[in-house]
Amino acid sequence: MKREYKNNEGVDQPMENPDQRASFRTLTEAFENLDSDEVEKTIQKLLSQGEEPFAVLDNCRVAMTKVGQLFSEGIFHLAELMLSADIFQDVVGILEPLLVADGKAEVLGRVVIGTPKGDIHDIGKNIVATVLRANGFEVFDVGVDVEPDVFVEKVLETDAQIVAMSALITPAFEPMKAIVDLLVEKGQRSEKFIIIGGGCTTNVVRESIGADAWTLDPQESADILKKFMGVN
Amino acid sequence: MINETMTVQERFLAAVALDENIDRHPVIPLIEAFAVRHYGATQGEGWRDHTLVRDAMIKCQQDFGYDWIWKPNYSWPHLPGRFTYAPVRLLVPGKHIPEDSLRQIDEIEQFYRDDYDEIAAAGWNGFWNEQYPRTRGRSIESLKKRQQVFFDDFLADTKVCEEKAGPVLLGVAVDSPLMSFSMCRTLLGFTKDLYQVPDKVELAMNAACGDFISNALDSIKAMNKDIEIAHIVLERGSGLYYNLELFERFEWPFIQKYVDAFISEGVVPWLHLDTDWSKNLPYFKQLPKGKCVLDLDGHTDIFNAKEILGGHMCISGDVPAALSTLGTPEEVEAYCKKLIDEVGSGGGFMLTTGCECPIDAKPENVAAMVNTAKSYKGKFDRKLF
Repeated sequence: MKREYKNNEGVDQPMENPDQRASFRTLTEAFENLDSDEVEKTIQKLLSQGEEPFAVLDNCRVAMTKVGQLFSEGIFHLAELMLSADIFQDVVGILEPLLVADGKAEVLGRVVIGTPKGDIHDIGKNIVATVLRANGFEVFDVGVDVEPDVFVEKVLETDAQIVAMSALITPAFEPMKAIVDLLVEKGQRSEKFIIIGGGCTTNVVRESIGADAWTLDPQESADILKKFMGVN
Repeated sequence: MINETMTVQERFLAAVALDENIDRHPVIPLIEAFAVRHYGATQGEGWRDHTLVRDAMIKCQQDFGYDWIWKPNYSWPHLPGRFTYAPVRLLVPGKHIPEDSLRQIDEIEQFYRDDYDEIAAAGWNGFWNEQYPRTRGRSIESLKKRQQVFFDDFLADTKVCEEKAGPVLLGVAVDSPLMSFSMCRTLLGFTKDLYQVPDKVELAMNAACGDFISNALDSIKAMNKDIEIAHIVLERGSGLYYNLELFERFEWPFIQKYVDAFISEGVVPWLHLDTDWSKNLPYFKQLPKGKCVLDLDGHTDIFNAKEILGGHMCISGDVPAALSTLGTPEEVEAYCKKLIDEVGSGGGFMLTTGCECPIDAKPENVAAMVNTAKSYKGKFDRKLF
């Protein structure tokens, strides 16, 4: 996609330097075009030019969020979402060590995500995990077929504010409820926000297990959680 | 109860043919694991003893009274060495996963990007003759022996079901090439293939398609069924996953080839659509009128499907899994009545579960579904359609 930009469109923050703006726009376009080679090339170029890793990651996050919005609008499909999430994972792999070194890894909130006991599907979970990371959350992925006590243990260990559960088959409903009940039992329920998703889930399932939110849209999940954390 | 004037088979064919003079809509919950659990056996026991599953299917049909037994046991049969779907690795209860778990698919790479060229040269059957031993460490001959046993057991169990209870719906299940390739490459891997090496993928699909069709036809003809039905398994090619450009190149031409081939041999194409196919529905108007079943799983808006395809294709569906599991019989009845009123109006409808009936469906909800189909005619005059 070739675009005409005005002012500071296509970049995460105002930039006076036109070359800098152009490079960041190239990064955004490469993301939306699912061009992993161009993304990596541009990131390396920006870093070699002295750009801050955090600023580069932030721009990738904006691009990834845009992809999520295009999916919500029905313009992009799961394919584009998956491919961009895969590119974003590579980006994180390049930039995260630099961020830690910088000490600038800020997060909006902590999320424990997983597929409960009885279900091994993970495609949707993996996409949501990446979209949440792209939107600034720290995500702890406990995997698939997870026992309720193991799930809750991770929530307590990380002091995560958010519990995210994904399921594609109905046998996962009871373990989902067990996780919620365990949080109630430990006096933690009121402090946590619980969101569910996945092919067989509905708002009725949300009500039945006692979760706070339900969605089938990865970007919408990020928007819901940002709202919960009080972030615009 | 509605006065029934047709046999189960006549009713099925009338629904496919969009006959508005049908006595009532067929009701066919797609029951498999539910029956085994309902009668107190574990999934592991069912996987170890196919006759246990068969007997559960028989009792279930007798107790609930629906029209067709979906399958006589847990097999998805085809002739030995003639794969009609991706030879995925199953996680079997009691063997790989806990005793009473639902069996699941372990989606790992079964072939690699370089293998598309081999598929293009050798076809689907020729490829797997070489690839199976490479990936599984067992000979294709040993696999064929096991597959022959499964095939024979399927036929034998079908015969017992039909003698003691009712007809069995499943003939053969066949993936589209896209579905099989996606399962074999993993969804992410295959998606990258579509974007990065599309010509390779297309060549391989073209080469494999003929084998999928002949494998399915030969398998179903070997079953000697009165009504031959081919379940065409479609999921990974939907508008949820890919844009229409990719659909038009990598899925739609093959759906058309399958349907044409099956119809020409007297086989009813049952197109089973998992996930949301809303964007793709208009294409199905190109298929021959009154010859196919469009079976929806609850994610495609079935009422929208009726608007687009009503009067052209028989539509089946779509009591949602969550409703069967968590809902009340009254809620199930209300939803079924809505389906009968709106999707059933004018004929060309079958009341089924949205994909497989959940293992943990409430029995009273299954009963509500069946009873509604057998007692509720619908509020619209069919002749007004």
